[in-house]
Amino acid sequence: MLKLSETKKRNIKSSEMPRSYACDKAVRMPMIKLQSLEGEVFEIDVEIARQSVTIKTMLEDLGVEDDDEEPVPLPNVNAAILRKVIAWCTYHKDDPPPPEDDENKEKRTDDICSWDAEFLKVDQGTLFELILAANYLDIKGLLDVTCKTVANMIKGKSPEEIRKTFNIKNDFTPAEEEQVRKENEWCEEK
Amino acid sequence: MAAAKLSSDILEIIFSYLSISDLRNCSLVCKPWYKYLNDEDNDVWRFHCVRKLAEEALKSDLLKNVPTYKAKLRAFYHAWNPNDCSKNMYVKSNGFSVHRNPIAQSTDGARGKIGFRSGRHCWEVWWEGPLGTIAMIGLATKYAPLYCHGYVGLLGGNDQTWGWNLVDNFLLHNGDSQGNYPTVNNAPKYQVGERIRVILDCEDNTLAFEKNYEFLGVAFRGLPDTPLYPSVSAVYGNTEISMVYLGPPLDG
Repeated sequence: MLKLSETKKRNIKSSEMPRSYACDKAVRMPMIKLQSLEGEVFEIDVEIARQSVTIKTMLEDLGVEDDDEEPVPLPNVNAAILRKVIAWCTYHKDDPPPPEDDENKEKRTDDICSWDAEFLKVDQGTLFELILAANYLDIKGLLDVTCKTVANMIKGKSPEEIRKTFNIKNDFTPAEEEQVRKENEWCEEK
Repeated sequence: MAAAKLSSDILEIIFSYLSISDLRNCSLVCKPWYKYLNDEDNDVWRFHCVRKLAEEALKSDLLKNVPTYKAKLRAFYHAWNPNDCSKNMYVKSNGFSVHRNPIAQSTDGARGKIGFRSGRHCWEVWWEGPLGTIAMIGLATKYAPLYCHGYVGLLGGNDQTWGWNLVDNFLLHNGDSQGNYPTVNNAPKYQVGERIRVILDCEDNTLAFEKNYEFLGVAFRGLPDTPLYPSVSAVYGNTEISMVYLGPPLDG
């Protein structure tokens, strides 16, 4: 990092200096640059980015420094989705780490907070892209809430209703469908 | 469209939030979802199995012939019905064995949770304690009484039940002896702990048994087209009988 004395030697006008040098490093939040599929660069607080275990691992293993000019490429995530992921991570930055799944407890789907519920009022395409991005970036909280949302769209529906909801083609023959139905008849019992 | 192409990691998370009844509907949605749910040992089935079955059942060799998590779960759904057995019997905490209390002058029976009207079904039954003088194994309709006074062939003693007495190797239905079974001379006596396989064919309307992997022949024909339940009846005090549903019979 250039010291102020150096800038004088190099005849750089202080107004031309990058803003990040304008204040003391100790109070500035470390930032990291993320680059979407299309090449758009997003600069965010490292602590927010570290909610992604994928990014956290890159920072630790590859020694990617904050303040590196090189953005971290995320070719699997487009800009619109990355923007949404960053918004989710920013809102949830002070969340405690998600607890380990307790095998003995029923997994609930009625505990989605209202901010997340609002955040996920998106078209299905976006919902599934968020799932894929959360999976790729390994952000457990986002993956859980998006999958819970899909689970809520499945609950209580018949197979045909589920297909209609997600625009899935029925690729069973009637005979195959009948066989699967019979095999699993017991699942209806309480 | 995207929903049909989700990876198994993601399907696992979504399905882990669903009930068994919802999972059944999911397996009928499309082949990729069916394929994931047809892996009977995946974490989704393991999760339901561990939550519903008693730890002692999972740790013992009770369920050794239903190796996958889904099969164990299915066996539990077909097990002795704690709400459908004689008042002198109770289903043990393992969920699969019924215990007969030492009540004098009483014959007591139990029924499985699910009755069958179609398809082919196989389950294993074994006595964990002494047979006493009458130990019947077979079928009962929903209407068959599960208790009566005295020591009798309760299972087979009326037109709602069909029983094989493991003590004297006689078949009984509607109170009439149907002859001895198996029909070989000097058939070996039942040993406590031996698992007998019961094979019900609802298409052929027959009931047969198998012991030590040996098919013993058809025992009853002309079974009615009404739900038929795995059943036993017993007279010996403190004896216990276990039953594990296996699924469709594996044909040779």
